[in-house]
Amino acid sequence: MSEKNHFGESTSAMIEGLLKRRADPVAPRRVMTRAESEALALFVYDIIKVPSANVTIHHRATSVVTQRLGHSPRSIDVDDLQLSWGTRLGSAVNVYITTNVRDLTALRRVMQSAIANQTPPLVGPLGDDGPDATDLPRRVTYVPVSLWYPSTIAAMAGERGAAITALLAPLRGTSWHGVATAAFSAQSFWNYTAEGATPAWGELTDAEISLSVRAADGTASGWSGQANRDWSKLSPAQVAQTALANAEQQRNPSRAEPGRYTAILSPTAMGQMWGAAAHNFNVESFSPFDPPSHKAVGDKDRRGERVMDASITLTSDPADPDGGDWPFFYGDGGMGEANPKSVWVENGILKLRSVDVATGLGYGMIPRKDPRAMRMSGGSSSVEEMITKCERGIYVHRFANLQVIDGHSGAMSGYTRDGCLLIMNGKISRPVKDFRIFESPFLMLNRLVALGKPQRIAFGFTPPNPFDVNARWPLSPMIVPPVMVTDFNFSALADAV
Amino acid sequence: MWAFPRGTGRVIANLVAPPFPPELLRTAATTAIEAAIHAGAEWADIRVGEERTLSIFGHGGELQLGCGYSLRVRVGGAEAFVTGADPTIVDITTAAQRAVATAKSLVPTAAGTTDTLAKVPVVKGEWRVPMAIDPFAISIDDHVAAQVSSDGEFDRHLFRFQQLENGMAGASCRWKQGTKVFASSDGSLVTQYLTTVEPHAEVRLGWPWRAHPGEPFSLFGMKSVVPCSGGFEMITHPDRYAYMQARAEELLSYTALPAVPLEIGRQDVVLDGDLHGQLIGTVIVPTLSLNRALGNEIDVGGTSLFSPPESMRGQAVLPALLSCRAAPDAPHYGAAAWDDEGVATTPSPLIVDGVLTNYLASRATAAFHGERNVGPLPGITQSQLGALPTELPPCVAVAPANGASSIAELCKQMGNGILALSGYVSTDPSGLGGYIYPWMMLEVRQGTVTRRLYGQRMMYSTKRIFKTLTALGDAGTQYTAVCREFSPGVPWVNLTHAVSAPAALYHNIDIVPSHMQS
Repeated sequence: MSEKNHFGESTSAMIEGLLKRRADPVAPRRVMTRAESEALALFVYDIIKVPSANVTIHHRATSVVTQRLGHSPRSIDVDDLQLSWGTRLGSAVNVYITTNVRDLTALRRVMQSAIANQTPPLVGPLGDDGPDATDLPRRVTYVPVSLWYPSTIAAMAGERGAAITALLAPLRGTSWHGVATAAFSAQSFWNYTAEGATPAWGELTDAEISLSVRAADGTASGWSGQANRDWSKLSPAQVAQTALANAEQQRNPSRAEPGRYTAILSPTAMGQMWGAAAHNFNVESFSPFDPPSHKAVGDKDRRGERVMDASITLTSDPADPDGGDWPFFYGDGGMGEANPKSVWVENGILKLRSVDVATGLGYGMIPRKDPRAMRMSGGSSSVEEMITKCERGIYVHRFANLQVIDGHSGAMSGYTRDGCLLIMNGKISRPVKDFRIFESPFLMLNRLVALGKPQRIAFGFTPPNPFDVNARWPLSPMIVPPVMVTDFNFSALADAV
Repeated sequence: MWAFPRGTGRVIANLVAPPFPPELLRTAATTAIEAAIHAGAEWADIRVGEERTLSIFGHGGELQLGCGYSLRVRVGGAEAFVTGADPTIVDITTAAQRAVATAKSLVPTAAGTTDTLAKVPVVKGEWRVPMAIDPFAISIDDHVAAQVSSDGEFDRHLFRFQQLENGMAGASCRWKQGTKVFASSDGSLVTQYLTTVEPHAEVRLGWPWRAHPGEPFSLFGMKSVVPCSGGFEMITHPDRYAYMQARAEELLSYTALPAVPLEIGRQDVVLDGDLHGQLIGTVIVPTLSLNRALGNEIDVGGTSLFSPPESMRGQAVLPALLSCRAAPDAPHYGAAAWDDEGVATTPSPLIVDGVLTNYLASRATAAFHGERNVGPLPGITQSQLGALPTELPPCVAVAPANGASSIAELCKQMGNGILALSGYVSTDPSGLGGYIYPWMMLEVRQGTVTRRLYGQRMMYSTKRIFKTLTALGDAGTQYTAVCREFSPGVPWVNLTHAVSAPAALYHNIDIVPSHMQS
C-alpha cells in the first residue's frame, strides 16, 4: 500500500526501511527517526480523525548481555514500539497499543477495531470531568539536549561480547566467581499534544556495564559498574579491577556491633538513596518537606526553609553533560510539557517540589518531573581523605533493596552489600558483615562532614523498585558525590548472600 | 484496552476477535524455528501466544488483548533471546535472523564453555483447562451479576460498608484466557488453551495510601473464592455467596471495635492464609530457583538463602511443620500440561517436613546441576507473553495442619497478640528479609479479638521468622494468595504466581515504626 506523508514520501516505504534495519544486527540505528515517527503519526491521525488528539510514539530497543564466568553468554534483545493516543487529561479517553506492527494494513485493522469498541466513543463529545489537554499552558520551548551517541549504537551490536570478555578477564584463573552484564538502550520519542502545538521529539542512548564478584563460600563479594549515554566513556577493564579489588578487600569479614556510626558512602550508595527518595519531592507524596499539619496538596510546605546542610545544592538539568534527560515531560501524566532545568535545593534551602501535569493544573503549579535525574553538588574531599578524617566509622560501597519506609521523614531501610569496611583512627581496620540500615537521606544531610567529587553512578541491572513504577532500567542519570555523615543508623546485622 | 458498560447484553467473544487464531500462532512458531535453523542456529525454541484479560467491575468491564513471543537460539555455546509483541510471519522471521546474528557475534565470548540444556522428551499435542462454561462466551451483564449473589444479599452487605464513614466496598474479577504455543527444533509442538480467574472483593475503612499519622485505616480483601484455573462455574457456586456474606458480617462486626495505634515492640501474630501465602510466595518460592542458588543472578539481584545447592539439598531449612509442593494441575492457578520450555508438568515436592527436597530448575540449570546432583525440578517455568521463561511455578501448595485448627483456635493458642488479615509482603532480592504489611490488624487478648490496630508494620528476618513458626491452621484456613515476582528480562516482568497456604501462628514478630508511602 502507498500512504503519502506530508514529506511527500511513502509511509509504508519508510516503515519497511525500519523493518529491514531491525533484521541487521549491525544496523547503524535501531529505533525510528523523527521523519519515520512523524510519518507513522500522520497515518494514525488519518485513522482516528481527531486533529486535537494527543499521539505518542515511543520506540525502544534494548539489549542486555550477561555471562557467568566459565558459562555460556546470554543475550536478550527487545524491540518495543508503543503507540498511544488520547484526548483528555484526568479521566482520559486513552488508548494504548503496544505493537511491533510495521504492516500498515494490520495496524489500521487494530486501530479501527480499538476505535469501534471504544466507550465512550473516542470521537464523541467530551464530558466536563477534568482539565482538557487544550487547557494546558503550552510551554513548548524545550531545552536543547544531545543525548544520542552513535558509539553506543555501534557497541550495541558489535562490542558487547568483547566488553563481557574484558569484564571477566581478571577473574580467570582465580577462585572468584563472577557475573558480568552489559546493557544498552536506544529510544526515540515523538509526542504531539494539540493542533498547532510543537511536537515533542527526542532520542537518547544509554549504556551500563557491571561486574559482581563472589567468593565461592559466599563470605565475600565485590561490585562495580559504570553508566554513560556514550559507550566510549565506559571502561570495562576499570570496572573489573575495581570490583575485584573491592571483593579482595571484603575477604573474611567479621561482625561489628550495630548502632550509629560515622558513615562514608560511595557515590553509588548515595545515588541509590536519592533514587529511592526521588518521589518524596512530589507534592502528592508524604514528604519531609510537608508541614506537620499537612493534609492536602496546596498547603504551605517548607519551600524557602533550610532543609539540609548549606553546602548541598540539588539540580535537574536535561542538558547536563554527564547525564541529561528528556527535555519534555514523559511519564507522571506528562503530555509533552517542557522539562526545564530545576533547582530543587539551593545551598540547603528547599526551592521546588515536583508535581505531575494533572495535579499541577489543578493547583496552578508548573508541572515538574520527580528528580530521578539529578545532580548533587560536591566538594573537594576524596574518599581516602574522608577515611583519614574518620575516627570510628563504616565505609559503605553499595546498598541493596532500599525502600522508603516512612515518607514523612524519608526514612528508608535496606542492606549494605558488596563492601562494608570498619574504619578506626583514620584507617580501614577490617571488613565487616553487612548491616540492615534505617536512615533518611534528608535528615542525614544535616549531619554532613564532607563531600567529594560528583560522578554519574551505575545502578546495575537490578530489579525495579516495586513501589516506583517509573524506576525501571535504564534508570535516569544520578550524578552524586561520595559523602561523609555522622550518626548513620546501622540498625541490625544482616547475612549477605 | 476496550471498555464495555453493563446493559448491552453483548457476548465478550463477539466484541473483539482474537487477533491470532491458534493455527496462525502454530505457523508463526514453526516458521520462526525454521528461519532460525536456516540462518545457522544449532538449536532453537519459541513461545508464541495471545491473551485476553477481562476485568469485571460493578459498572462493566474492560478487555485487554495482548500477544507476544520469545525466541531462543543457541550457536557455538552462545545463547540469544529475542522477544517481540507481534507474531506476524514477517516480524518473527526477521527476529529469528536477528537472534542468530546476535548469538554468532557472541561465539568468541562463549569459547571454552560447555553449557547445554537438559534433554527432555519431544512433545506434541494440545491441552485445554477443563471448564464447563467459557467465561468469554457469556455477556458482560452475566459477569457483573456474578459479582453479587442472585438475590442481592451480598450487594446489601457491601452497601452497608459504603454507608460507614470513609467506608468503601466493591467486588471485581479478572479473567485471563489465552492460547500458548511452544515449539522447538527438537520437534516439539504443543498448543495449550489456558484460563484463570482472580476474583476479589474488598472493603475499606479509611484510605491506606492517604492516611496520616493518627488516622486509622483498614483494608480487607475478602476471601470469596480462590484464584484458580477453570470456567465461569468456578465463581458462581452458591457456597461462595454464603461465604462472602458471612465474611462481610464478620468484617462489619470489626468496624464497631475501637481503633488504636499498634505499639512498637515484639508480638505474637496469627497470619491468615492470604498473608501467610504471601510470605511463602514472596520469600521462599523465588529463593528455591536453582538459577539463583547457583549464583547466576548475582549481578541482577542476588543469590538465595538456599545457596550453595550442593550442601543445602537434603538439609532442614525450614521448621518441620512446613511442607510445600509445586501444584501445576487443575484447578490450581496457572494449571498447564507443559511448562514454557515444553516440559511436562507434574505435582512435585519442594520442601518436605522442613527439608529442602527439590530446587526449581529450567532446562539450562537442570543440565548445569547434572554434574552437581542437586535435585532439580524442571517443568515449572512460566513466562509472560513476550518474555523469558523463569524458574517460577504458577502455583505452590503448602500443606495444612492435620488436626482441626481454625483461626479462632490459633488465636486461643496465641493468647495475646495480633491477628493479621490480608495484605502483602516485601523482600530483598535474595530473600534475606523484609516487611509484612497487613491490611487489617486486630488485637487479640486472651484469645479474643478486642480492638482494631493501625499505624505500624511488621519486619522480618527470613532465617529468624521461620524458626518462630509455632502452629499451622487446618484446611479450612487455606487460601490461595496471588503474589508478584519480578522476572529478569528487558524490561523486567512482573510475573504472577500463587501460593495456597493455611493460616499460621508466629512468635515474637518485630513491630516497627513506619508509614504508608504514597
